[in-house]
Amino acid sequence: MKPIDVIILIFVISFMAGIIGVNIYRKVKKRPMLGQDCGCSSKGRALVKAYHKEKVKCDCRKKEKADL
Amino acid sequence: MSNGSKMIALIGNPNSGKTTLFNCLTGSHAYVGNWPGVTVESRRGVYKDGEIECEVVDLPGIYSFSPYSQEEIISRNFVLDENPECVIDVVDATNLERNLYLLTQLMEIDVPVVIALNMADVLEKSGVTVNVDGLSKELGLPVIPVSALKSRNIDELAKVAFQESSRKRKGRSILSKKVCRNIDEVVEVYDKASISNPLFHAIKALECDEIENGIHDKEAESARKIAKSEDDFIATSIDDRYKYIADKCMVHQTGLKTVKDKLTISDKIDRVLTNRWACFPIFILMILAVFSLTFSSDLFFLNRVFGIGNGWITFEGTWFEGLLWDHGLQSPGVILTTFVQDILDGLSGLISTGLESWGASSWAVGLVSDGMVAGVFSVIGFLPQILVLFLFFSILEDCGYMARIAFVFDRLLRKLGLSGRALIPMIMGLGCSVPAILNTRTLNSEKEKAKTIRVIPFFPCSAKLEIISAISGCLAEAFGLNATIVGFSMYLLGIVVSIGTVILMNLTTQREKTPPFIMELPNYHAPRPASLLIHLWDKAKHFLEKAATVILFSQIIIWVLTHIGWNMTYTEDIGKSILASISRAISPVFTPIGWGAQLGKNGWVFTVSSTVGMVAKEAAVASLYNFANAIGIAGVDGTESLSNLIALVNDTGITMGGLISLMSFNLLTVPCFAAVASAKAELPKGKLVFTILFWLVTSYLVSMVVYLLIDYAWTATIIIPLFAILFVVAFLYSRKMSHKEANA
Repeated sequence: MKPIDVIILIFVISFMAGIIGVNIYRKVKKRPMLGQDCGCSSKGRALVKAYHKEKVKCDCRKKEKADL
Repeated sequence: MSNGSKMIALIGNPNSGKTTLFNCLTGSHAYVGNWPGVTVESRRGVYKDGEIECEVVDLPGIYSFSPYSQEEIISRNFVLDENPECVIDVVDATNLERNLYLLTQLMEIDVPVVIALNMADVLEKSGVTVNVDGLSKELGLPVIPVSALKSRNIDELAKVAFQESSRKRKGRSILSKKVCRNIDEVVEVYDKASISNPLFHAIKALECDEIENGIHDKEAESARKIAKSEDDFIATSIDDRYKYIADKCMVHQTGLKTVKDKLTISDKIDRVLTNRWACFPIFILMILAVFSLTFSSDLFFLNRVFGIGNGWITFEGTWFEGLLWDHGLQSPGVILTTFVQDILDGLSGLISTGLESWGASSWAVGLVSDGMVAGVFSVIGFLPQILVLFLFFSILEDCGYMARIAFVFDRLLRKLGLSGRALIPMIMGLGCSVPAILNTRTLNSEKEKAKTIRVIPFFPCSAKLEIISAISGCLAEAFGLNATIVGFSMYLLGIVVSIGTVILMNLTTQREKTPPFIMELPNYHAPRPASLLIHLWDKAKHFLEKAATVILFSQIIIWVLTHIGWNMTYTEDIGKSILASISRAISPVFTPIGWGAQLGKNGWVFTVSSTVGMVAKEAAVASLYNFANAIGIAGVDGTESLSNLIALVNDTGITMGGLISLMSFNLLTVPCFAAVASAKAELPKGKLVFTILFWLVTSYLVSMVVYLLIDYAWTATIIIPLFAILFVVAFLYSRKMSHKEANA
């Protein structure tokens, strides 16, 4: 391999490792992955999940009351 | 809360200017739209001015603290649970009466409140004045007139809010004793249970608020017993609140009659744009004009229809020929795209010759120029066209026309089982499916939400625009079709498929009575250049970031997989690579839709690009360019991007029907990882798998129909009756279920 080939190879490998590293870091920090952060935050998603939980609870209570 | 600083929340009615105020206070560039319901989740920023420093939170707009949709619940929960030190209620001065309703409920919460009287300058222009001191005295709260749009009085507002945040404020109700007889005893129930904001919760309990009953069921029950409240408490309390606003607050507004008596400019424009008969033709003409300005090589068909350029006015032999003129007057989108693609083609050639002159091995040259540069540059090459389309959509949105579209289409959508509100996320889907899916939070019904989320990807987003541009360019060159008509037809196909699938869902799995649609129409105003530029810059930045990270990453992987054989050695012939053999095994699946096993030696490339497109749509086009270079069928000088793609089309032997089917499949199938993640968050548990299957099956079936109808026209005699039978069966099923439900 020529020096220029080695330089290209190192560049490509470090780029790939960088992308994987950033995505792992974001995953740990519960942030959206690269290319996914178009307007949706993890906080917003958590709020939606909480909403669904609350809705299920409310629906269950309604059903219980109706049954009674 | 960060660094122990104070937290100030912005609350108010939808489209009252909260996000514009948030941007003013924090220097952020959050997305602002001229329609209600743009903000669907809380957003944070920091305000700093000398010694004053506080965290500002922008909340989704709400009309009252009795929420119906998700984003309204987000706002209510934030004020009640996150304990902000102060709340700024952004009140639209031009709609004072309606905006003060929310304030009468906010006053019941134990939090300092400051009123930002926004758009006060607009009101003054129309001859109406508000006695700020009188209103402030009546409400017992500071009232600051501001103009978020012109950044007027913003620092004064922040200063007052900062001062108020140090004080404690006890909630007070404006409801009369007639409505709420023994409210003090009811509040005591909540006090004893150590529940914060007892007055607010007590009144909500009397209103039989669903959320209140859910979280404090015991207290709510005993509150209702003590108060002996009647079922119509909520109705009488609403009346009482509006009576208070009319009698005590509106008296501080003078000159109102003169405004009501004359038609505003918005009213006059609406008489034409939302006219029962003219609204649809106007809408279609506007969208056609936008498409022509973006894609057309014969702008507004000026040459074809009027002979401008080639007939009585000619550009041939002039300076315009070549740059603005090429068999027709070029649209701004085409001029900019050609210009940028020429530069990128030149750069691409320079990089490969540079690497060769430095003595790089053939694999290294291939990896850089075919794998990395060709893929990424092909994506960036379409950026000008995307920005031009976005610019025109942003203008329509910013001036207030898009909100009217929802209103205009409500009648039509209602017949299909959706409300006009559902159209807003669909229009947002033309930009990006992710925020569009998030915007479905504004829909009140879960079923309507599910239906809307499922059809959003059928509206081509900016990434899919690349596929449309690239393939319609190919169709124009290789089969002589008109690129503008092809592009427009793809958007039309998306709309037709959405309508068809919504009808089917409405008849089968998502049957429900269409929820009511109430939307406040914003005033028309001239688009703000700064806002448009910020919007475009955000789009371009996000696009370039994605190209330089995710797309580049995927292109390197594809290049490696197409240049390594099963014996793990480098191969120049990509037909012998790992990816080629895997794709050849899968490609028969796509034979019925025109780009499977029937294609030539290199036909498998379409299977790979469509699969990669499910990760990110830009990667689909990038990989096609990548393959064209790797196969060695590049254009005349080896760098021209579109000619490479045409060479690939000719080499594989794909038919016109196959190529349009390929485009349809990519437009209608699973959008991208980001959109799938958003859909997962928004849909109820267990619905995601069905939704993904729905996208796959719909795209496959529609592409098959497109392919068969174009290449084998006689199949129409089978396809059309089949679809008719499908809809009749669904209709009969729906009727049977309705009878069953009625009997039950």
